Amino acid sequence: MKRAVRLTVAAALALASVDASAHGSVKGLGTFFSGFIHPLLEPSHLVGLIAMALLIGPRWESVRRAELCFIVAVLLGGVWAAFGPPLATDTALMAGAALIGLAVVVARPLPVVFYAVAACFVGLGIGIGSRPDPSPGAAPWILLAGSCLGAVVWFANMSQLVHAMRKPWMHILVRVFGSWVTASSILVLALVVSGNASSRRPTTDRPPTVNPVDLSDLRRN
Amino acid sequence: MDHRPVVRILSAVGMGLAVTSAWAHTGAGITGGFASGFMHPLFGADHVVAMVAVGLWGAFLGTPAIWVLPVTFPLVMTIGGALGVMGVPLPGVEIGIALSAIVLGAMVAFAVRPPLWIAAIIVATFAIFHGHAHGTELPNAADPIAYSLGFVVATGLLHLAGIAIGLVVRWRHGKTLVQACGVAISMAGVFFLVHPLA
Repeated sequence: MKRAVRLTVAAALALASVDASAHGSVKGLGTFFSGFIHPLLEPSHLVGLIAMALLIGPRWESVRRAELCFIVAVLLGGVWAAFGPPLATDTALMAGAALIGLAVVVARPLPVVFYAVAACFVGLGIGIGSRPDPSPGAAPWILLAGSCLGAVVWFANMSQLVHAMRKPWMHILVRVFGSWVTASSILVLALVVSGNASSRRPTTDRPPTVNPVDLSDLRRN
Repeated sequence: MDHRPVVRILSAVGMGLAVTSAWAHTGAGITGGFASGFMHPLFGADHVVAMVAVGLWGAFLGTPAIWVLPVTFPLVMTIGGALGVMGVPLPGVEIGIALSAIVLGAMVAFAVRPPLWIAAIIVATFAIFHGHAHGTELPNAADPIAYSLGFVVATGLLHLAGIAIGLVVRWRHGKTLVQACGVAISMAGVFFLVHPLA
């Protein structure tokens, strides 16, 4: 498993470095890499990944099978996104992140099944929420594949980083980060419950879709 | 040879490089929402001094207050934030925020060391006011999730800054310096309280 993670990380770094080392104009990431970074650009997915990494990282040796659950859940969610009906997962992910953040703050050993269930929940939410816009050709499939792979890679990275935080003050920092995750998640949930979500970015009705990112447009803005 | 540290460092660098493009976009959208949320506490001097005071007091009280207070604050802040989001009015929000600077600064200035649960209650009480002020802005944010992440992270970083300042108590005249910071924070709070009434 460790070797597989290392190889995956190495591949991800090799792929992800293209944009950072570019000189002159950059036309865009392309379909696959747009999907690859989508979990980082979709706030609810990012919060879910961070929450899971904070939960699993400190106890990685004893609950590393939860990572496998996450991978399977992301793949299943990706299959749903590809063939199933559209389903908005932002709210569910924020609710899950709020609970997971609380578990991180409390920092008490929990049954292994809790970690597995949390990993499945977040993985499914991210996979299902990575539904691409319908368009002709192979682009939606490539985008979805990139999103699912990206979710797995980023989660592996994050959980290993948290796992590397071994000093006592780092454990405290993990709990502080957990409180941030819970706080921001609850605030968004309050927004959803109150029905005051901004019309520019509805968080409940329309499922988020993945589109290729054109960096040149972003830089012009 | 153990390659784990190298892999982790490369992973961290890779993650940092891969997401630089996400922050190139300013204004509207996700990154604009995060930036707006992040700057919201920083643009309010009353927020800044009170947040720093929480970290300062926690560092002054030592373990476990040094992390209990910065954890308690954002968690309880969500209650005030939720009230603000839902449009529930909270009277005297600005007065509460100014008082937070006065009280928390005074706690540090006079080296008050209450039991942990009392310190947590004091911090939590003021957290509601700060949260309400942030929460009222949330519905107007370009991206609410990014906005809430932004201001929670900024709040937490201010706490950490206060903790970092508070760690100078280990120096020779550190305690006096920290208490002087408390005095300055309290005086700032008085200014914020009086200034709107003037």
